[in-house]
Amino acid sequence: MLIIAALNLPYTATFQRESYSDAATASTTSAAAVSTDSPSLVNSAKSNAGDSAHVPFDLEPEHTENTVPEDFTQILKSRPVKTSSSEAEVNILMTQLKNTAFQSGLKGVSPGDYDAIYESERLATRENQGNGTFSQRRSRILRRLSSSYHGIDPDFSIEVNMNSNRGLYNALDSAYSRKLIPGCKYAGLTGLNTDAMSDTLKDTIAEGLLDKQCYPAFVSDKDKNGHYEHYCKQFLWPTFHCEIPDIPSGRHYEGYSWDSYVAVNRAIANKVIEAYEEGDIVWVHDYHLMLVPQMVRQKFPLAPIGFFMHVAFPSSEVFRCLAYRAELLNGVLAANMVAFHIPEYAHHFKMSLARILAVDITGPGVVETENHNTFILAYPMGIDTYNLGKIINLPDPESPVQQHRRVIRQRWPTQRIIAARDKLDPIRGLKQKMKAFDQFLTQNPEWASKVVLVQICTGANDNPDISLDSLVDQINSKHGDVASAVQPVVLLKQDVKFEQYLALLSEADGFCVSCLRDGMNLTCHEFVECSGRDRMGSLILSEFTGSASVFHDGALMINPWNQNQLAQAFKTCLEMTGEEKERRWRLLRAEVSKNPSYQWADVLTNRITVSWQDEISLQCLDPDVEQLQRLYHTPGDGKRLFFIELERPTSDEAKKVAQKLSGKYYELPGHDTTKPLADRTMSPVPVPVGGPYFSTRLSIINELMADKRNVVYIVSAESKKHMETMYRSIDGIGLIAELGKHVKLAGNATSDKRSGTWYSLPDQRNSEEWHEAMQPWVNTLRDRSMVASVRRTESTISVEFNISDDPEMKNRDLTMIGEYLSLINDHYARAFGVKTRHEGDTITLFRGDIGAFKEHAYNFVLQESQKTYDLLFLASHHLSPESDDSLFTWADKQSGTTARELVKILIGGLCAKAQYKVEGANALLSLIQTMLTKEEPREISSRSVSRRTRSSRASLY
Amino acid sequence: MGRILAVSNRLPVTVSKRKDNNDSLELNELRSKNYDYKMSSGGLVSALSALGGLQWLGWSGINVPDEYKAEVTDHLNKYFHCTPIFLSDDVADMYYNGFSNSILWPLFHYHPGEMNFDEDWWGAYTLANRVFAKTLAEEFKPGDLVWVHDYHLMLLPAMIREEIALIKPDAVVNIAYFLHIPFPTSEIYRVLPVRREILLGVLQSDLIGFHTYDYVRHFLSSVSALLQLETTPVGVKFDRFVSCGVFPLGTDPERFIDGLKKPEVVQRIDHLKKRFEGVKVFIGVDRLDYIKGIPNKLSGFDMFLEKNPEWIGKCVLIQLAVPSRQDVEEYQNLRTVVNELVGRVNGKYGSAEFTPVHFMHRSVDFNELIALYAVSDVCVVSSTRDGMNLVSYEYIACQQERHGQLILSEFTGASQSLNGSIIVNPWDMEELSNAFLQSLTLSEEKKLQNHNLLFKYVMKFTTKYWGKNIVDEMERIAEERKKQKEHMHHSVEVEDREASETATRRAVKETAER
Repeated sequence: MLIIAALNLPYTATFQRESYSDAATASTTSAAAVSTDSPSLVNSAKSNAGDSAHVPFDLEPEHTENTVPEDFTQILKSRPVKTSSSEAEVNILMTQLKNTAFQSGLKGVSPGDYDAIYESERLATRENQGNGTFSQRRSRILRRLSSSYHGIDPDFSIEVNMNSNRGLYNALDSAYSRKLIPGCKYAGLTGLNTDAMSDTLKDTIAEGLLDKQCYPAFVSDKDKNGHYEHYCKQFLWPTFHCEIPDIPSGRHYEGYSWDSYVAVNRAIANKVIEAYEEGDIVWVHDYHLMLVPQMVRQKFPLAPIGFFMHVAFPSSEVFRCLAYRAELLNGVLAANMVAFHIPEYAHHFKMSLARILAVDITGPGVVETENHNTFILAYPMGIDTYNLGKIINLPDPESPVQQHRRVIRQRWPTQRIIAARDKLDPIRGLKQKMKAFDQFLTQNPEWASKVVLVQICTGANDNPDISLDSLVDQINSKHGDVASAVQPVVLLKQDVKFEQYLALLSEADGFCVSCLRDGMNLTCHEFVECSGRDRMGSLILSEFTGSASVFHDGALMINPWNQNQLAQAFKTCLEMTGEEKERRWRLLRAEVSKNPSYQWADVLTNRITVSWQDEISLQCLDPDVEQLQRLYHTPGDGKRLFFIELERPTSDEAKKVAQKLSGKYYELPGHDTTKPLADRTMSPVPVPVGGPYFSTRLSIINELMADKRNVVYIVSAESKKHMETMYRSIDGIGLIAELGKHVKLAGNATSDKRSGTWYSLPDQRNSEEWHEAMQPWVNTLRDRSMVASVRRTESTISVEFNISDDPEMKNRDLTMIGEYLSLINDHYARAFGVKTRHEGDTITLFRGDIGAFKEHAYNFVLQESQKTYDLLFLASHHLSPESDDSLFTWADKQSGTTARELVKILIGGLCAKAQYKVEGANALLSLIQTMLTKEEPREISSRSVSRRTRSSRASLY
Repeated sequence: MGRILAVSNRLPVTVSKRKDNNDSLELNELRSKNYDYKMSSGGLVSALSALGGLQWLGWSGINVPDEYKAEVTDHLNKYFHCTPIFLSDDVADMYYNGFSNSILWPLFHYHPGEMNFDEDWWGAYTLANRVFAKTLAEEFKPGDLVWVHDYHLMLLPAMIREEIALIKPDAVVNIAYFLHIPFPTSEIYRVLPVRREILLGVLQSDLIGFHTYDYVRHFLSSVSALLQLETTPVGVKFDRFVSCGVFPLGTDPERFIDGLKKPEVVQRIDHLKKRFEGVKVFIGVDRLDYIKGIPNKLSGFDMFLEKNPEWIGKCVLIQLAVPSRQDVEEYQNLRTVVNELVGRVNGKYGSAEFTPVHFMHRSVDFNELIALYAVSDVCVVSSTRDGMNLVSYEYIACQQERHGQLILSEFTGASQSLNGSIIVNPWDMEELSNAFLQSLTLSEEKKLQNHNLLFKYVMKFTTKYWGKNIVDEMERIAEERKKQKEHMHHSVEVEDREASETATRRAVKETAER
């Protein structure tokens, strides 16, 4: 099933009793802003849920504790029932429950009632539509039995929660009814203040909600308000809409309510964990719950988790103002998929990741963190055109929408109507709209009594600001017409009935959205849908909405800060020719119908699964040592070909060795003394050339070379000269330098004259140029930051930084490196096709076309040798997902032609095409050493060579 | 190379009308018939003067009646190498207080909410830039390098070309432009209704300089998003190739080091040392501006004392807030907020004999300033956005003896250069409070290490270095352009040029149409 985590559940308890209705009302107002988009799309699709929304509860909470559960729970305890329990087992249990109920002396209920309940549950079990676990069914049985037991007047009812994100729930319902997505379980808050409730009542509510597949989280009122009213509304909401909260009141800024934010996230995450069963997909929604993915991930390392952001995501320049920026990003990043409405938000998110967490952005949509990939994409939410169409297109003249349309026409018989509906919030640009409308009327007095702007404002109770009213009064007194008694602006500071709203949209000639920022704005999609062929109204749309990037040319795009432009747009909208109107409306309509909301739910649910599957396939790459040994030791007399990429040890590895050597300093290998001093390798972390560290490497290679069946090539990004020096002691070894630009063929030079000489493969581009282009960047870094060393080859530049050991400073330094990374990616990636790799304290820049070099070099080697091999062993360092992919695809092609068996190992990084992955060069060599031994392999380093196999990993579920 | 024509909003000379017109007074450098003149101190002037022939153009700062314009112009030219530009009070107000400081300033510092676009202000800004351009065109001689400064004059490069083309049609004009404030991310910049006009104005320069890479990046992405022009990491393909580069401004450290040797300063330092004996001193020196994060600093200090009560009574924060733009509402609000916060912290931790925050809302003279710098153990810069922030440089220059630490907001341009400072996010109170503690508890060895790093940097990358860098780069570009012109027959280049000219024409035309 799909577990939906959102701030507010789709259903909640509605009280009829005075004492609780206060609490309920209080929460209504506070939570009104939750649903950011199409808040009024009344649950038009709820019918497919199968139940009526109003389920009365015949249960007085106080009684619950004493009688019924006592008896029932004892039975349930005595008979542990698992999900796998057979129907027969359930039947026995049911019968037992029934008998107990009778024995307890139930009154006022006929045995037939029990039978009916019993029967329906039994059927549900058999047809497996009971939805969910046995524990859910159990509590449902319990509740239904006990409610018939008491038969007391309903205290509260479970109803649709109008303060929840209706757009989301409608989309899900709609997708479910089309069988596009599995059924849903929901985790979230009830939206009620619960401090005053007894635990019993909470339990009862929880049970009631469970019937709707809702798992309510209860938090203290303080946390509920601190989370929403303070942290979300005062910090996240404005920041996400590019308004940096200026001088906030309250203790120590954000710190004050951050704890509440964490508490609510924790409570909801716990409910997700409670609801989660193997096979479920977790989908977390919106900026209220950015920590939930991580919290769930900690409990279930292999669960499929998705996240969708319903609001905008700001530029990293703005996002980085948040004190808890790293926590928020890490929270979201634990998901397998993170989705936004439009590519721009996804881009900003990626930039923030790069700058604040220094993570690599490898592919167009993939973010790599340590052994975890997150897919980032943009997919805009739409509206449910089908169900909306059903309401507005009822031909019956007595249908509510048609009635309201007539009323509206009677009120403004000759006027053109421009409609608008916004939440009363500064970012909605209402003042800008009014000022521009005023300007329009001033400049075009002939329109004064011929047009009316009907502005509906929701959430007015929350916002005592009356400056809008005075602005409207001003316009009305200035441009009003006494004779016709028509006021140019009608301001409704309350929401209208949904049908009435749809009628207004249907009758309107134009619709105006002037938001200063808005993640999407689905109200204008509703307008397009309502404005049918007979009217074809035009849309004035702020370019700062997500919808703007969906609609392109169809709408009249405006910058709400540009009053002139907006005033002009009103005029254009009213004076547009019929053809132009139609052209634009058709464009708009096409976009709206292209992307119905159920499709959004379907596509993203799929994407969660797909990215999760990728992740799982990537996670199962630990080398299978026995398999390797078997392959290697298969008897035969054919040769084995090894392409082993050995980079300089990562600085972490080097540091460890350096520590062991307690301060002995060695010069770096391949030190090029011909270059000016500044360009020479000056590493503060000594890498010993002749020490035990390097000699271990060499001895393993020697061991490999000892078998005459083995032809070995060492591949590296280092220069020719460097590689010569490094491996000069190994006779007959093949070398591939600069990741494939230069090849030295393996073999004995005396017996084969082509062996032992270097061949340079043709290169289309001039490396000099590339270096020259990168030089300014390198210079600046050297001047201005903690650069330890710069190393160059023809096609790479590695910059090593001094990173502090102090954890706090280390974070700082990493952030700095992140900034550089984003700088390079932004500046150079496009213009010069530069690829970056970030490992520990080193950034390496590659020429963009470098990925193909290795392939060329390997082909060259195969052509030269003209042989077929028993085994092709390919160990390649991770470069970028595309080039890894392409290289392993190349290897696959060799299988069966030039190579009988194939081993594909990826060093660092993740790639689905690789057979195995290892963490670094040392781990690879340990693996090779293990492979060479014939007897039971010994554990060289528990960290580097993991012997968990696919099957053992999979059992982690 | 001819002269450098530096253009900035204000001249480095303050002109004032003399009230008591005493004819018997001797006329000299500081005094013409009806006006007094005072040279503003500041590193920029001396640094640029060192580069060679410098002529400064800028607004006179006051309204000069027509009959006195000749007098002021002649005097400024003769004694100061300055050419005044006269604006009426109305225009000056709308151009300076209006468009520059109430629209561009808040927007470029990420306060779009404070921006209230006003057509009249924009008109005045355009007009003022035009007046600058006309004056400059007359002053211009072939071979001169024009160097335009800051956000007040973003339309000027384009207007200069137009005006010079009218009266000196064949002259080659080389223009450098430097922006002294941040350039915001395009996401924020595009809010500006005249966003295209402003970019097209600046793009008529040959070289555009910024303090940091981020600003360049933001500028380039704005250009490519809003004008659909092709950009490279180092510039824009416009009708000419417009180079965009990073030239972090420095300070003039010698002035501070020498200043500290003056006997009156030495005396003042001694006095202050006695006054703050046994107490660690934090210093903050800011204009009272909402970008400076003074409330953040005070709240951070509050949290620091709350979490580390052992430091109560053992450290003070001296906050100097230089009054600024006091007639603007936002600045008045800010003052109220800061006053309240100061009161709160002092009320919470103060006693009869001890005040934790010394708040001064006034300017102090140079000697007092460097004395304060010298006796402080830590300088705290908590700006929420700041193009560069030179206070941090000045403080370092004054700390050769004490090796004081620098707490520096990551939102300053300086933070990208000043390696060795304690970098903080001013929105993160916890981090700020920890930084206060850390700066006090560092070992002497670490302090010295930090100071050496910083001091070395400040001494090397001075204003002079900065000015020379830009002028050198400008000369290189001019040279290259000359060469290019000689090789114009090369067909590829011609094609290239034509393509970019078409792009330029399109961008200009589209802007005009909107």
